[in-house]
Amino acid sequence: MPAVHPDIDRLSSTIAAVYDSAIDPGRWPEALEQTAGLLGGRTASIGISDAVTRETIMRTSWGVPEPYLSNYAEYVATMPFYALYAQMAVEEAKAGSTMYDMGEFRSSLFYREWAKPQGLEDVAALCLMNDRHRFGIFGVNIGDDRDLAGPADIEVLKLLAPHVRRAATIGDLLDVSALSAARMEAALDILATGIMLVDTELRVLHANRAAARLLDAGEGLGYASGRLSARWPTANAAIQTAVARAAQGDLAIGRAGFSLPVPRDGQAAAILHVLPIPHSQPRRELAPRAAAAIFVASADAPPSAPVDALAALYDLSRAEAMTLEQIGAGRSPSEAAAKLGVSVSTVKSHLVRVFRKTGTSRQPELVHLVGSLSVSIGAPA
Amino acid sequence: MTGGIAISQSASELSLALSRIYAASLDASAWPSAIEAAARLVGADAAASIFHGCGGAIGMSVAWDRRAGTLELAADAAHAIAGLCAGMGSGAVRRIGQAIYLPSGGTAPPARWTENEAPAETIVGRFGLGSAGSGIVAFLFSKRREEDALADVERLLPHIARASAIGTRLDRCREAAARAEILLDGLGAGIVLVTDRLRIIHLNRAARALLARGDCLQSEDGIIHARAPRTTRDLAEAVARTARAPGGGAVTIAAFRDAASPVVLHVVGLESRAFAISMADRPCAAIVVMIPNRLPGHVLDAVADLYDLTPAEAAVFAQIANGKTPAEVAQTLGIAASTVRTHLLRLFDKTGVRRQADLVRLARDLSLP
Repeated sequence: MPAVHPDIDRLSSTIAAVYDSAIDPGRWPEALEQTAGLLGGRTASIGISDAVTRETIMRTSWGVPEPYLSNYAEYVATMPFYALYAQMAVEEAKAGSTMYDMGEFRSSLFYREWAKPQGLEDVAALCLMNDRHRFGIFGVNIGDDRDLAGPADIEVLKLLAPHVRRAATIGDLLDVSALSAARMEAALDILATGIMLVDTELRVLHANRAAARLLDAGEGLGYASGRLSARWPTANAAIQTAVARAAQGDLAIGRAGFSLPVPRDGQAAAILHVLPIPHSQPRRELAPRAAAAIFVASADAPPSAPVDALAALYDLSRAEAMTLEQIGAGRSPSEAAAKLGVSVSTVKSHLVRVFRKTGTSRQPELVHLVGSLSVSIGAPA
Repeated sequence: MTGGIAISQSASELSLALSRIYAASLDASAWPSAIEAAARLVGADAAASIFHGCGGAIGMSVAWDRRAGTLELAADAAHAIAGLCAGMGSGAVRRIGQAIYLPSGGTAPPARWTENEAPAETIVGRFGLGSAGSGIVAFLFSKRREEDALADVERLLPHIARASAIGTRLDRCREAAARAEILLDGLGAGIVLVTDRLRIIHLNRAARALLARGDCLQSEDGIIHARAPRTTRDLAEAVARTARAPGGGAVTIAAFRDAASPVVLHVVGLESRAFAISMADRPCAAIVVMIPNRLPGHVLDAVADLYDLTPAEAAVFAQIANGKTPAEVAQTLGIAASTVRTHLLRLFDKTGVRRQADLVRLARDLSLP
């Protein structure tokens, strides 16, 4: 290898800036500035758009002053040769001046009102992505203080091509997995049931909002040296055993899992459900430490009875639906009458119609029906 | 003239080697090839690298030798580097991002590295991996000038560190997603995550089974819809409304699988976090699909445990909890109606409730969504 050449350091630091942008998209302008410097360009930008709607998904620039930054979208729509870029292959690099007739380009509105006022004559363009979903271009704009983009510029761009492309892929992957994790975590957070994932040592790998509250309150369950710990005797051994058996995929317990009662003084009863993680789980190998899922169901979480939905399902009147809500929550007709401010006989006559319309004949059946269609939604944060 | 750099042979060599190094950030199995590329680029005869996790544990070790190729004995590399570092004494690489030069004789490189004809010199560099830990890479040289080799190694160190940090970051994100997915799959209720335009983002296990049956919800081109057009309209409206107002509670929608089987869809908006760039960062909602079901045996067993029920009481409780009348319970269990009544009174006593409906409610509350 020849002695250190300063250009090698510039290339190395430009590539470093490109990958830094993969982790922190806010650093793209820095990478663009270095790239422009490497090529001797005046400004640089990355644009990713929807291949179908042409809507901009992401655009970031370096060196582009206002109003040109804001009105780019408006002008590029009038650019007569824009379609030529869409024909580029991924990692292909080309000079704009070699793709179209410069005379025609210079007579375009885009050149006259957007490019020329900034002193821009040409672009060295690199195609980052081009599939049925997205189209992305990395471009270094060449100023009027030098020649049009030439083969040397294209060579440098080609040298950067795999790196810029890989950085975009990494950025996408990070975004996609962070976004999908955030959404799934948000879905777990809406439930009032405490939900946790633990490893074999009972370290909590994930806890939804309800579980986090439960653990913070520390009444029945809490943390001890970073591990899940029950506050009542013998429970820790039982949880440990349940988790160990769940982790081993113990056939005897099957898919259904274990349930352990949680005695809580002066409070509603709770049950801890320990579920094994099915080995067929598609993403099982991505969470190697996960041993078991623990759900904490408590009798004090008020389920939101789907009154409107039940009324629609069974064509109930408003009064009948309210009666169903009360009886479905386990109240007696006299309690329901008191709650609703009507007479017991009114409740009873509504109830007869509710039985007929829902195809049930007794109160416990209604409680069962309403209960199995309800879900406890946690209070908002 | 053009204003840029002139491409030299070494510029393209550097770019190619960096490609191999950063490829390892996307696929950890490419690290041996990355270390080899680094070693070849700096003109080393052999190289070894270890990555320490945040707890100090060795996350990965890779070794390469010009003649032997990638060494399979990764533990060798770890030992080799540990030996080198121990031999360095006060001159050891303390600063993150620093590489130091160890002339031959100053330390004892591992035997299998010194089988070469020429006396070997070693350069050891240490790099930080942010919150992910740190790493060390060692290169063995026999034919290069110290300052050239040091400059080359110091240029590569931050790239190796960055590639490793990116890989760790990706793994963590994927792991968080996998953990949440596993938990959603543990639920009996079907959970469908959709954008405000009903595009399916995720289905949990129960929801996948539900859509496969297709008797209530179906998907077409990635868009969810109900079998009944009216339900689809209600769903679209509920999803659009709740997705834009997360934290505002649930909207429930009724649907039928067939004339006798009701289904209720609970639609809740999902809170979103801010992302710098995202291709599909639209408001989202969760559809929780509830279908009437029998309570699973293990839940009933746990309730029996909780209240210290006898086996006979537990059997009666299981029937009552699923909405059966005492007469039906007597018939199913083949016992007298009066016996059922006796058990019921004991059940009321032990659980502290007064009515059958309360028992049904209790069992339901203690089971999983």
